[in-house]
Amino acid sequence: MSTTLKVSLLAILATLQIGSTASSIVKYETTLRSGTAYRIPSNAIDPADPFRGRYVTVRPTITMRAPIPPETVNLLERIQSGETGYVVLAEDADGFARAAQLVMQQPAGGDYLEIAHVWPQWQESTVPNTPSVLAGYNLQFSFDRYYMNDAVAPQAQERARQAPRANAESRTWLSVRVKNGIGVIEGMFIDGVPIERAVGK
Amino acid sequence: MRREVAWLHAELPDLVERGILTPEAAAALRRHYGTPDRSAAASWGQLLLASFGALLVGGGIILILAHNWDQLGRPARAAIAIGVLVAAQALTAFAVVRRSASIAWTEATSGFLVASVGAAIALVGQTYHVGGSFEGLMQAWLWLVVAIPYITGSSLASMLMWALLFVRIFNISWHDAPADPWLLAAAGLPFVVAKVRRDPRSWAAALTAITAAISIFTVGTVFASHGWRELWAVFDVSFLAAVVGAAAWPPDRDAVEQWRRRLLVPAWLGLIAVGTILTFDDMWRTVTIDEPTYTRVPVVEAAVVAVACAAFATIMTVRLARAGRFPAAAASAAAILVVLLHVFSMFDIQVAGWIAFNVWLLAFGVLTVVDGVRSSALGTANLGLLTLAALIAARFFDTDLSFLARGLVFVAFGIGCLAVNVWMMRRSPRSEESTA
Repeated sequence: MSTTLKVSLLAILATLQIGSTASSIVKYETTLRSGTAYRIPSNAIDPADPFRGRYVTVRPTITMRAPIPPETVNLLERIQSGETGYVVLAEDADGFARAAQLVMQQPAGGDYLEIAHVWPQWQESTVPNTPSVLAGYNLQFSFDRYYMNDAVAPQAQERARQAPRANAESRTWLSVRVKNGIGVIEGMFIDGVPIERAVGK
Repeated sequence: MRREVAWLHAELPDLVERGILTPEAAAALRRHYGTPDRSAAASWGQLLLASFGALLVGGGIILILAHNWDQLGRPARAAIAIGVLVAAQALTAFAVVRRSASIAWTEATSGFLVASVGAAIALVGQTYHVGGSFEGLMQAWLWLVVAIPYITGSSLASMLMWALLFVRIFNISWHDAPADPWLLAAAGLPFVVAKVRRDPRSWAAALTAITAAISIFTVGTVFASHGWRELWAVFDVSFLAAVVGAAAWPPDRDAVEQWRRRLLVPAWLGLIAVGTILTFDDMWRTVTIDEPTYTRVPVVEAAVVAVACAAFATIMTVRLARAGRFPAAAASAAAILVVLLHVFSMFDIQVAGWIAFNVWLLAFGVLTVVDGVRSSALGTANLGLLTLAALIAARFFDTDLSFLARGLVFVAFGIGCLAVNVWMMRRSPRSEESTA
């Protein structure tokens, strides 16, 4: 292989490598700068990735409470069985994200996210000896990691776990910027305080 | 080989002086073997240091960035991700254009580029809290580095690619198992073939071939173990038998290329290990054909690779047997044996499987010991003894013989092993020299 050919191939490969990295940066940076901010409730546990460092596993969840129209339940069951579905987002009275609409076709634009998992939420019946009743459906998304400094990630997990025990009204949520189907985590909060500050950093 | 050539060059003046060789014959030998490469040892050290240096720098950068510095904002992190990548690419381009003759430069910069691609992907993922699995990161990393060995000719980059594939395969989720590990293996393999053909005597070629073989073996084993029951055994035996066949090439004489010899021993050991597992009857009782998973793409790919390997190994069996190389022929015959017995087991003739593999392992062990003794090759004889020891140890667990009988067999076999070794060492030329 001649040097010219090698250099040409290396240039193509370098373009692919930089392009792949840069396109990710541009995509996420654009979403963070001009996307709509939503608060999505989440819990947190703390594992580590050998290359990307320590992170808090987050499970941002939007709950659709019963009663739910039968046609929406049908869509939820299809998504639960493996079909791809999308949720169009809106804001509820508390300022948290809520599911405004479920669709199976990817919307042309706007504030929507692809649903990664759906599962039903059951509630014990108030009538003795009767089966549990459907309380709603939980929707989860593909972003599941919040990377943190490796010195504070374990404390963050502990803080997020203890907060609801100390105060039942305490809430942990993610601030997520959403634009054209892309969701990027902007920050993690416990009762309005950024997690980094909550653990004393 | 370099060491032998250096030794020959040192001996030639003495042989000429003592009248054993004429000066013309000595000159002819010098011309035939060429001058010993005295810089080889130095360049090896240089190469190792450069390669380890590149890997340590690349790995260190990944670990430093994994600390997740609070002080660095998003733009700084993005700049570092792109900056490290561009620096590695620039160094690689410099090595290709200006230092193409230097193996140390080529290997070090290529290794650094592989590590830098991983660092860049990891840093972007960390900065933007990108979800996704570890396997997803490895997939992107592999596809962005698989072409590097072809452009730079670096064995280190190739070995790193195979090592990344090896790590990735253990992190694949079976529910959505991608088919691309086989494509990656197919994309990386031509470099290995070209390398062993171009540089058959080098350790770099042998290590590249061994790394590729281990990685492909692992990919096939993991995918096949998620297919129908005991498909992994068909894949493992067929693949290892094919590797033995490739390492034994050409069939009519001992391999001269060093990489073949270096690849043969691990393949042989792997075959003994898997063959021993298949001597247990439990391994054959569970084989069925009524499971739906065999239609999954990675499983089908594993089955196709296994059949291709078995076909090659069978051709080699015939050719090796014709050439009188019976231990190698017996080793490669394991492929057709496992395929046929697996089919028999699917139709409820499972007893044939473990009986045949007991006979095969015994025959393979005896043939190897006999070959080792005949050719005074202590290593070969010991490999045969190891095979027989594995068979005896396996039967230790599933026979109803008394502990006394089993103990006596072990002691007798141990004494036999020692006796063969002592006898062969006494017969060896070195031993005769020292006695004289």
